[in-house]
Amino acid sequence: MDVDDALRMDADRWRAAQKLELELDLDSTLETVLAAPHRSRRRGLAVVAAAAAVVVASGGVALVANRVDTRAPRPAATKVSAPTTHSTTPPTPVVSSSSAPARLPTLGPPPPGQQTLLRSSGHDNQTWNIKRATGRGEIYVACLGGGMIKFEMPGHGGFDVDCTGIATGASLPSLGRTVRIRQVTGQHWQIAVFGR
Amino acid sequence: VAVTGAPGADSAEFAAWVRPYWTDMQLLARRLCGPAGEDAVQEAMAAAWRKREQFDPGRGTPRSWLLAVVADQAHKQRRRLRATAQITDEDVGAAPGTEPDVSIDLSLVLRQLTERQRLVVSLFYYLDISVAETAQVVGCSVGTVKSTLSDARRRLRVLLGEEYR
Repeated sequence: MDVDDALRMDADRWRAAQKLELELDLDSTLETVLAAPHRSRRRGLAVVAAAAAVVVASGGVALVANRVDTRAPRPAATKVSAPTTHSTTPPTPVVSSSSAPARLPTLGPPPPGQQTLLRSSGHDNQTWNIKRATGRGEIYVACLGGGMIKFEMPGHGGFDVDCTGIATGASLPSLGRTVRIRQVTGQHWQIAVFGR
Repeated sequence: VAVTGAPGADSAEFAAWVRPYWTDMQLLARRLCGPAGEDAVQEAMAAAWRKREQFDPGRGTPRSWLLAVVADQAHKQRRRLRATAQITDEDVGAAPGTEPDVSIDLSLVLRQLTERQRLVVSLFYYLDISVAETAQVVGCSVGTVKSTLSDARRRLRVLLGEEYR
């Protein structure tokens, strides 16, 4: 077989296999990038490494996911406090929803003393890079409407967050990794990261 | 749809500018870094956003510019991961679900090419882009790309043995 033909054959098969595996969403990635556009990875890793010991214990970053089925009528207004089970100083993001049936609810402002590091929304099983926005506190996950959200980190397993009722706090087992969000029961999610 | 204009000042315009080439960016990152390609392509997006005003339509297409940014970030990513032993050659180039005959042989021997040869082979064969555009990505002449491809094929013939000519 000619080497040129062999390369073309291998490339055809590789492309076909890879295109099924590509999961990064452009909009989510760009949104993440814009959240911290000047933070280099090296500096980011240094920050993460330095903060890692402090992070889990100290609290400070709230990651709030809001599950909404846009096909179903929603309550007129909702106001939810952030999780309080995993930190002595829990963040208090406010999640509110408008009455317009076709729109996702708007996540409220960050708690006092914190800033919004990232906002994003998307659909099921999008990959979302959390590494640029985290590293400065325990991460909380919350969602409205019940259901489960899966967080998966390629090569590092993942964990489920049960959002039945109001909110459940959870800390990501590793920082600085790409996180795949899989909304198991919903159609859309909205997410925000608050931190100092 | 090919977009040839400037990247745009705001994020929506930039996203629209990048979107036609997003798959190619991910493919190149995956080709050069294996599973770590996701991080590389995200770093590339950050770099492309920061440097968007440096894009010069007179010097190449948006795709070639974006792929050059990806190649640069992939190089840095591999260097970083090698330094911390988080990447091995086994991570790179293997095609999941493919038949073993050709792909295994090639994924093994492609590792033995130089980094420049691997980049050129990846662009020309695995991303299926032209020699001219490959030259824009690599930042060299068309003739250099052709000779690099020729050298790579010659090297592969030696490595693959008599079954390949």
